[in-house]
Amino acid sequence: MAVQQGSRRKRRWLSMKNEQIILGYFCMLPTFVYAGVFLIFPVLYSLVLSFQRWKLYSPPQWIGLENYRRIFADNVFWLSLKNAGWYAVFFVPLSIIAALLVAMLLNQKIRGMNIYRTAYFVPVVSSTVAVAVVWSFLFDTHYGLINDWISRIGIGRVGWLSDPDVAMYSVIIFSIWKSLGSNVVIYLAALQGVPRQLYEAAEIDGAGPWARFRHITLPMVSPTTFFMLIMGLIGAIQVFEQVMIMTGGGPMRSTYVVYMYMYDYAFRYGEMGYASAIGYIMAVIIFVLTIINMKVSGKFVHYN
Amino acid sequence: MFKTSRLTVSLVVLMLVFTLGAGNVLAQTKTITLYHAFTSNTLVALRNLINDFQKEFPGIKVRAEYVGDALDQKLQAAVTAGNPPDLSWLQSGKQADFARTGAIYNLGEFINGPNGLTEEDLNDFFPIMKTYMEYNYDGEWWGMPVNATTMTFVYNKELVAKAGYDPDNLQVETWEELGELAAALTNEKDGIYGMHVPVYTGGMASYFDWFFRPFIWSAGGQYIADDLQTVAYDTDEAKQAVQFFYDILYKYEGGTLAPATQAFDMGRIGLHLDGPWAIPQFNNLRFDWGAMLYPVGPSGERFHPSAAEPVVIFKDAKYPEEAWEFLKFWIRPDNMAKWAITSGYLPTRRSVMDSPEYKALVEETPGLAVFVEGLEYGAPAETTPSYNRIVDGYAAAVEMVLHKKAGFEAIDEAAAEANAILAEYWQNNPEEYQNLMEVLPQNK
Repeated sequence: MAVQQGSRRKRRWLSMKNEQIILGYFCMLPTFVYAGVFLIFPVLYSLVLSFQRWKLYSPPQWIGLENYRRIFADNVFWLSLKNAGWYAVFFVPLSIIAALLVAMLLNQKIRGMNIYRTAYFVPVVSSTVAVAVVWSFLFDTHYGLINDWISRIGIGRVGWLSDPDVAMYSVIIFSIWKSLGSNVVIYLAALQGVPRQLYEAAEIDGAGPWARFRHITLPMVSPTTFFMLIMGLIGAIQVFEQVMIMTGGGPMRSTYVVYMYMYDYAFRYGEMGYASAIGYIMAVIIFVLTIINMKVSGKFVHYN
Repeated sequence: MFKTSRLTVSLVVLMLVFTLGAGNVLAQTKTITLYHAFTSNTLVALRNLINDFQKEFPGIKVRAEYVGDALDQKLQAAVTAGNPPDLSWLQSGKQADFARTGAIYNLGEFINGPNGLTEEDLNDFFPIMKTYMEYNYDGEWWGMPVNATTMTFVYNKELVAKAGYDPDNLQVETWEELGELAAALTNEKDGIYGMHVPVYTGGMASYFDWFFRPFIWSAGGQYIADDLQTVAYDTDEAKQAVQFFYDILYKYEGGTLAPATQAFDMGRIGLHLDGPWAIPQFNNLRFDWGAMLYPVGPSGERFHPSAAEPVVIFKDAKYPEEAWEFLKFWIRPDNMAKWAITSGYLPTRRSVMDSPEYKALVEETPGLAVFVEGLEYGAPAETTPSYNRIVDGYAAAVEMVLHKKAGFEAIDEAAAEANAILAEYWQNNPEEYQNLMEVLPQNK
C-alpha cells in the first residue's frame, strides 16, 4: 500500500504541488475574507466616505474636501486635538518612567516575586470599562475613597473628575495605572537581556548605582524605550474608553479628546462622512508622529 | 468506509434539519421579534408580559432581543438590510426618524382596522401622550406609547428635617424658595449640598436638556423659536433659567456641580432630580425619601419634563398582524397596570391609575403620586433638528457660565453656531420643514 501511494505521488508530483498551493490558499481563505471584509474594505470605504455627506438616513452625497474644510475650521476639533496632545505629553513619558522604575524593582531575586509581578499585571487584563467605573468611584468628589483619605490629613476635597482643571490629570493617573503592567513586562524582558558582565565590569571600575543605571541600563533598554514611546504615543492620541466612562469628555470639555469628537460625529450626530474624515486626519497625524519619532530616535537609541 | 460514514453523517444532519423545520410548520408557531433596551425591573416586567401574552395567544411566540445603547444604529442597519425586527421600543420621539424614511407602519392602519382600538381607548391615553405620538412628524400615530416618564425633585427627609422644613409636606412654590431651601440644606463642612446641578455635554447632554428645559419654559422662554429657524435659548427669558442655577451655586451657595447620583444615595445631597424609574432604588435607601413638584417660575407657570416611549412596527416585519396583537395586548389597561407596577415607568393611560393594584402602589409609595401629578404639568420638548449637536453646544456654554469660565455671552455664541446648523439643516431638508410647519402644535 505504501508503495502504491508512493508511486502515485511520484506520478502526479507537479499537479500535487499545485493542488497543495490551492489547498493552502483555500485554508487561508477565511483569514483573507475576514481581513478583506472587516479590515481592508472599511478602511478604503471610509476614505471614500470622508469625501461625502452621509447622514445615515439619506443617501451619500459627494462633497469633495468640504468635510476636511469644516473640521479644520471647527474650534472644537482643535480643542479635542489639544486635549489629546496634552494627555499624550503627560501620559507617555510618565508611564514609561513608572514602568522602568517598577521593572527594575521587580527585576530582583526576592521571595514571592511572581506575586508582585502578577499584581502589576492584573490591571492590564482587566476590562478598561469595568476598572474605569471603579476608579470613578474612587475619584468621586462627594464620597470617593481618595477624597476621604486626603480630607483626613487636612487637605480639602478635590474635584478629581468634576473640576475642569484637574479632570484630565485624573484620567492620566488612571491610564498609567492601567497600562503599567504591560510596559513593565516588556521592560523586564529587556532588563533580563542586559549582560551581567557589563555591570560587573563597571562595578570593578568603581561605577556607582546611578552611573551603572545611566551608562548601562538606560542605553541597553533604549530600543525598548523607543518602542514604547511610539506605541504609547499612538495609543495616547487615540485615548477613548476611560474618558468616555470617567468624564464623558467633561467637565467643560476639559477631557474631550479627538476620538470622542469622532464618536460624537459618527454615532450621536450621525455624520458618517465627517467622522471618516476625522479618522483620516488622525491616521495622517499618527503616521507623521511615527516618522518624526524614527528620525529623532536614531540619535539616542542604542541597538546591539 | 470513510466515505460511508461521511454520507451517514450528512444524512443524519439533513434529517435533523428537516424534522426541526417540519416541527415548526406543524405547530404553526409564529415568532415575532422585539428589540428593546430594557434593564433591571423593566426586563422583569417584559418577561412577565411576554409570558402572559403567550398564554393567551399560544400560536405566537415573542422573542425579545436586548440591543441596548446601540439601538438606533442597529435598527438603522437592520432596516437598510431589509431585515428589521417586527417591533421595537424606541426612545421618546424617535419614531419620527423612522416614519420619515417609511421604515415603520402608520399605526392608524391597525387602530382603524377590524382588530383595532375604540375611540374610548384612544381618549384614555393622557393628553400629553397623544401630543407626543401625533406631533412629531405628520400628526399620525407612528408608535404606541408604552412608557411615560417625567422627572421631579426627590429629597432626603432627614436632611430636610435638619434644615428646619417639614419633611412630610415639602413643596417650594417659587425659584427663590427653591434657592433658599437648597441653601438651608447645605452644610459644606460636612460635605453636604442642597442640590446637584447636573450639567453635562456628550452622552449625558440630553439628560441635562430634559431636566432643564422646563426651567426655560417656566421663565417664559423657549428652547427654539416657533418657526424652528433659530434657537431661542439666548433670549433674556431663557437666560433667567441659567441665571437661576448660577444663583443656586453662588448666591444661595446651595449647589454643587460635581456628579452626585450616588452622593444622594449616600445622604450627602438634599435635593436630587430623578425619574420614577429610580423609585425601587430610593425604597432601598437607608433614609426616607419624599418628592416635590418643580417650582413655579417667573412666568407664573409650572412645567415638568416628560417623555413618551413608543413601540413601533416595521414595514418589513414578517408578522405585522401578530406584532400588532402583541402591542394591543401590551396597552390593555390590566396588562399595562402590571407593566407599570413592575417596571417603575408611569402608565400612559388614565384608566390604569384607577386599577386597585395601582392605587395600592400609590398608597404604599407616596412619592409616586408626585411623579404622576408631574405628568399633568408635562410639556413635550420642542422638536429640534440636529438635536445632539445643538444641545452639546448649549450645554457646553451653560457649563462655562456655571463654572464661571465665561459670561452669558457664551450662550449667545452657542446660539449663533446653532442657528448656522439649523439653517444648513433646513436648506438640505425643505420637505421635512414643510411637514413640520403643518403639524407642530404651535402652528395649529
